[in-house]
Amino acid sequence: MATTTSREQRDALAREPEWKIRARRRTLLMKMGTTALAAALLAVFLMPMAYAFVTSAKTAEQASDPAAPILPSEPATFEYEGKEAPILLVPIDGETRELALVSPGRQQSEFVDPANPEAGTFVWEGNWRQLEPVRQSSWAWENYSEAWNFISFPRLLYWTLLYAFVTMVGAVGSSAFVAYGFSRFRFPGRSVLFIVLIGTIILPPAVVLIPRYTFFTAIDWTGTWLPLIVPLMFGNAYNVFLLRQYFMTIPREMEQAASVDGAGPLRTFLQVILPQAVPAVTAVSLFHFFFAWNDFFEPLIYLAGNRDIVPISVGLSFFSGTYEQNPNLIMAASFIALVIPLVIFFFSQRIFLSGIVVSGAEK
Amino acid sequence: MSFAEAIRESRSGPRVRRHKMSTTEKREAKLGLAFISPWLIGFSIFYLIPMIASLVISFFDFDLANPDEAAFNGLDNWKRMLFDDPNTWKSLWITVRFGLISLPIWMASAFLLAVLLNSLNLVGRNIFRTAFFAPSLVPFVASALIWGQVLNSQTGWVNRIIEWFGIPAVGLDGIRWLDDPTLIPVTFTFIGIWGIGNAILINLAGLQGIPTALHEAAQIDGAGWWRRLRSISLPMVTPVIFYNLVLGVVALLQYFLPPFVLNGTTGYPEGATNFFMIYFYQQAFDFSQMGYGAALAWLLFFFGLAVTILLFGTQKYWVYYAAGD
Amino acid sequence: MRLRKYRAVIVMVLVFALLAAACGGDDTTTGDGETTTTAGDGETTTTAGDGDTATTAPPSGEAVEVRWFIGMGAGTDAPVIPLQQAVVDEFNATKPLGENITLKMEVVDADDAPTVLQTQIAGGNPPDIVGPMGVRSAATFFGGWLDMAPYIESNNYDLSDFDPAFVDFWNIGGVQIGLPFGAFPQMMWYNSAHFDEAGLAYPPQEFGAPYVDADGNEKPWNVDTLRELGMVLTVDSNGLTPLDDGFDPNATVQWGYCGTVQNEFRGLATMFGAGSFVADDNETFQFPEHWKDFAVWYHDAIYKDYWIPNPDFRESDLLANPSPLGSGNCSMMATHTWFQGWGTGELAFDEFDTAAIPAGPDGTITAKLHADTFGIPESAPNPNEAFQVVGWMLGPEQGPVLAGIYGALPARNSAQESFVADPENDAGFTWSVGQDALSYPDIPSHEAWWPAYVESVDGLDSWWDPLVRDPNADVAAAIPELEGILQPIYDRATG
Repeated sequence: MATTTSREQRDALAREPEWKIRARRRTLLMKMGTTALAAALLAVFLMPMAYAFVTSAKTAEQASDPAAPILPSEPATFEYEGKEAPILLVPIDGETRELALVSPGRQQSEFVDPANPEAGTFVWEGNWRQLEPVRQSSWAWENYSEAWNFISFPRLLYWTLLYAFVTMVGAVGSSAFVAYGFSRFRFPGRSVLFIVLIGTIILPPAVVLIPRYTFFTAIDWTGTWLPLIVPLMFGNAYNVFLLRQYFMTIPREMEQAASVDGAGPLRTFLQVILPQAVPAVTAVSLFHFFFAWNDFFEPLIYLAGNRDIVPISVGLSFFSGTYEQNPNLIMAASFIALVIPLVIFFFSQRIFLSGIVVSGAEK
Repeated sequence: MSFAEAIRESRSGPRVRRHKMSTTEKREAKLGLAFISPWLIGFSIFYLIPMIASLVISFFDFDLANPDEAAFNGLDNWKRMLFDDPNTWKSLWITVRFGLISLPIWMASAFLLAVLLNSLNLVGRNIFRTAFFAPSLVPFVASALIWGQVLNSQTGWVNRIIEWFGIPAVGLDGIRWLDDPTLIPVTFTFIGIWGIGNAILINLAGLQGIPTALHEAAQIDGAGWWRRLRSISLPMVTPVIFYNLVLGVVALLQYFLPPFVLNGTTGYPEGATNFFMIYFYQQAFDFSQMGYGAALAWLLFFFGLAVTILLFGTQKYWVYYAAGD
Repeated sequence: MRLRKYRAVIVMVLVFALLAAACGGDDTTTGDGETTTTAGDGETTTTAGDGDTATTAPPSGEAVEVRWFIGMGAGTDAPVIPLQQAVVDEFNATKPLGENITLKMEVVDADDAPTVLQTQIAGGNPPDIVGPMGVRSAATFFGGWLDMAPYIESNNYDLSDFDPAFVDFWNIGGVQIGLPFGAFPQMMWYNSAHFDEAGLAYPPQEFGAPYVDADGNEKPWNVDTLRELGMVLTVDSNGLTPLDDGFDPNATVQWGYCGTVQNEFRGLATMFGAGSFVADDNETFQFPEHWKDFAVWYHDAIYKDYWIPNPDFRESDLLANPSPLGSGNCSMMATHTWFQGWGTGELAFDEFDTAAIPAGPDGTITAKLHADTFGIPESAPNPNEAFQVVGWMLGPEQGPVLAGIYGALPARNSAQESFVADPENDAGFTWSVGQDALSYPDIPSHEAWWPAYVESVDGLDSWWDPLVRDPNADVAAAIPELEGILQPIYDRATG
């Protein structure tokens, strides 16, 4: 939308026929309406994350304070005789004064005036819980550094990135081949094999856990990353299925043209189909990356006990002990863990979303 | 076309003619097998043997704590599961019923949100897309905690926000999202909507793939917004909707983490969270009866396979592939 | 695509799998009978037999890495992990059992540890040592633990320093699954600031002593007095207590009593006296009368008198950061000394102390006892070395060190006095209260063996959870229902 208002433009606008102006107005309204709708939906959608974010910046004390408002804050205090006394708004003789609660009691409490502590304490009759505390905003950003140090974040990050990148390249690369085979060539048993492929994800992974673990133990792979990485090098059902769906929307004329030029199937795939499918491959790569980033159960099982080489997802479980939990630290660590995938997502969506438009328009 | 018709049609369809493969056909077959060979190798090594082993285990009395005492017990596990154990069918029904409620809602929301996020009228699309995707990235350990707290009947934000609208919600007489058996499907449907980021994206990618020329042509013909959505966008993204549908069905049959984390394996309240995989986990891991658990898992497999095959069979009636079969 | 093709697939998959299963008879035994695999694997170390190895001499020279699995009880909380690592480092530095044995620890968080351990044991990769763990955790693997008796004999391990009853505690079904390691006595932990604010006197620190109120009047320290104090200590956001008109239970901000950490029925009910849901014949259901009373009493405390938080409150941020007592919103909680093991010094308040457990309605005092141990899986690759390491860990030198790490009173009689006197173990509470508590153990234990342990616990939960979560539940009317849940489980297990 043009926001510059040079004289010519205004004149031009003025000369525009009535319907065009109305159309522009309607577009503007549509834009406002659509954006407002999306914003409203987003607010509902992100509410739990807002809770998580606020919690991540609270101390345990703030989180369990029943009187606390939504945003992290704590009662203002005054140090009196070595003790932190909370400051409350106390109505005395028709005026409201800010006084520090030194010794709380049920019927009466002792207060001191922070402005005049030498005067000593005095008794106020009434229930201190009905008094309004003086609050000051207080964000416990130190949770973030504590979480970072507690689980040795850089080391976890190293293993997570390694796992995510290696399997992304391997799994998506191999899956692209397999998906191409399934989407373009007729061979006996193709649909059977495809259903078998899908079947590998229909059978609950938990039931093959023990046999797989036995297998990997027998070849001495448990306690290493191999059981997590190597099987993915041969393609996996999720990636193959999604890529196949994309490949099947690419018209066959492409390959026919290439084969007329004398290109073999491998060259056709690498030089004609893959470039066509860059957006799709990017999308699948992203999905795989995010999947690997948050993969929890398998790393937990296969790397069990070796706390030095676990990914972030498993590292987060270190915060829950047997007898205590640290929700605020878990939330803080989760937000730290969220940054990299979110940034990757933000910048890569241009590639895979805009890319598809081009390929579509070329049809 | 209805499901039943689809099945009837496919049955009465022309017989597949057996014929000798020509040389080109043979070459094509060889090439196809060559392309899928990575998966064939990986499958044989890493999947096939464990899968068979787990099926074999289902014919054993297999106590996880004492694997060396595993004893073959024939069809006992299967008989008990199919005929004597009411929980098998009860938990399968709970799972299927939940799927019938939530899957359409999830898929429709994913599609509609994708349409919204694809709209040229949306200012700041990249930011909106990232924001809608963000919840899918929250690590599982954290999201379990988040939902437990946000839905807490006494202090949760959900009930507190509902109270802003003057509806009493907080407290034991209020809305107890995780304790009221009739609310359980609603609660878990909402929790699921939070994680549809992937489905939104897949839809979005599909929508972006539609040639703009199609829309322009339709616009010139005077087609309105709704009509273009129905006649162009929807059919053109059917391949990805099909993908979402199949994966959605698979994921729903294996629905486990949210109820497990929030309500454990007791099925509380009143068995409403006794989903099939919860029941499987209780038998196989809590009670260490992996033999019986394996039978349950394989029952789920056969059920899921049947549904998937049916879905694949319906493809030709509603899924549009530009490249043909 | 045609349906016909896919129907054929189902048949094919079935036939193929069954065929493979049938022909591969030998294959599958090695595939499923994981221990055979282990034995094959274990050839680099020792051959694992079923106890007969105990009599053979320990192998010499070959390097053995003993794996110590932590997660089935204490030991996963952040502050104790480096302390445990120090024990491991100490072992590997001094090599007390010979150059060839090294120790390695694996820590898995408590939520996931059972599944991980099950996978390792069933998958042929069992650890050598599991612990610390209580009866409840050990129960998940009953039948899967190594009988230590032959090893005690072959290694001439000296048990005279332990109370025989304590050694017996770990003899379950004729199998000595562990050695006594330490005791975690139960005490009443209280927030003294809450008592001060309410103008109440603190509960007594001596077992059997009366409660002396602020005016000097004596009352027996029992569950009725607990209730009286609890109702005064419970406050809503307006400062009203359940005794006042206009008290708003939905706005409660402080509760008088928060039960126990695990909060499961048998543990809670033990305050009314020890008991068991199974009769002496170990196959007939029984519901101890005093536990029936407890069930009603506890429900009333939550929903009629409001001085115990309902489960929703208990799971909320108000009481979960980092524990009900640690949140500062709870005045009293009956818990064990392991509560100390992860550093109660980090609690959100520093004004707390420990007191005696109040007597039950009939006047008897029962302070339930937790006693942890270290077990060895039956299929452990190096059982003899594992036993020697356990012996070292629980020995006169390391035993008290480990006990201090986990907040236990050492099981060795010779170590107790010096342990309590050692300022290293001064955790801010009065250890003597805990020592006294040992005189009032729950017999039978609230975690005692019953048929189909885990299933029965699950059955009990499925009865109690809905009741304790339902404000309108008629607990008295629901009591007979438990028999219908548990007796069939017993029957399946024993019959």
